[in-house]
Amino acid sequence: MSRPTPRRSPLGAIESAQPRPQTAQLSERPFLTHINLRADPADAEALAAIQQVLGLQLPLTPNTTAANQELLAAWLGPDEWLLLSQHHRSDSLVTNLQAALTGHVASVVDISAGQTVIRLSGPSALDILARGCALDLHPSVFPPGACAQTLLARAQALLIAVDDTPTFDIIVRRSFAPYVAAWLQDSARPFGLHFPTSDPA
Amino acid sequence: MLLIPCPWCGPREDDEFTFGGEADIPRPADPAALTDEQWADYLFMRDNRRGHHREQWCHTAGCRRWFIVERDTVTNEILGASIYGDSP
Repeated sequence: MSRPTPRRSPLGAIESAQPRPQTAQLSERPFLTHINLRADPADAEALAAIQQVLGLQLPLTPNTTAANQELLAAWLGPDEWLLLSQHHRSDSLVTNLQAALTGHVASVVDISAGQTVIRLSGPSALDILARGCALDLHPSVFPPGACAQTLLARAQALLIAVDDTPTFDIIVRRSFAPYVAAWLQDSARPFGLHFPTSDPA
Repeated sequence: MLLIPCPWCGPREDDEFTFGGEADIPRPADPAALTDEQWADYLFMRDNRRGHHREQWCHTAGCRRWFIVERDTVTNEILGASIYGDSP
């Protein structure tokens, strides 16, 4: 007889130890559906089939996202996207996309277990990120809806601008998540912030 | 530091890229027909140009696409970037 194992997200401990909101907040958006989708942007039929399933048009402009209530699609490359969703189950979304793309050169891979989303929000967020990222993330050049894959403190990360607070979603591999979270905590120190990374005593 | 203009993502710092050596070296259509010397020449021999150089770069930490950069090997000035298949 097997006993169900409780789910543990890579940064579950951080969430529970989160102090009062200060000038920036760190949290994890665990257990989202992450799907890597590849398709030929010149294949109009495939794009239409994808749009039918997702209910939104894939962003074809580099480093932008498209979103509706249920799903966000981020541009990763000329023929590659990341789908993020809280609403859709990954298995059914993969099945539906694969069915819709039968006969097309395309790939749909569930990578939900492989990465996580760290949300950094608050007036100090830009300063905290700037200490480990060469990109200009000011809303005037990186407005809400923009995304970029880059290095954050030498870790590969996908940054998505969420709103003008500013708020960023930082998507990293799950094995990088504790390191990136610890780095963010360290980077935030000069701004008088503290992000506990271990379970509260 | 080099500021490399990725044809898709725009200018990014060179930490995000991987260097891929000299560009415009086509793979022989029929490798089995080559002599060992010709095959070794294709695999290993590269020009070491002074000045204008066409070379391959991959935006490893970004969109993960290979493309061609033209660079002056003396001044490190980047003269342009293009996508494979576009005329030089």
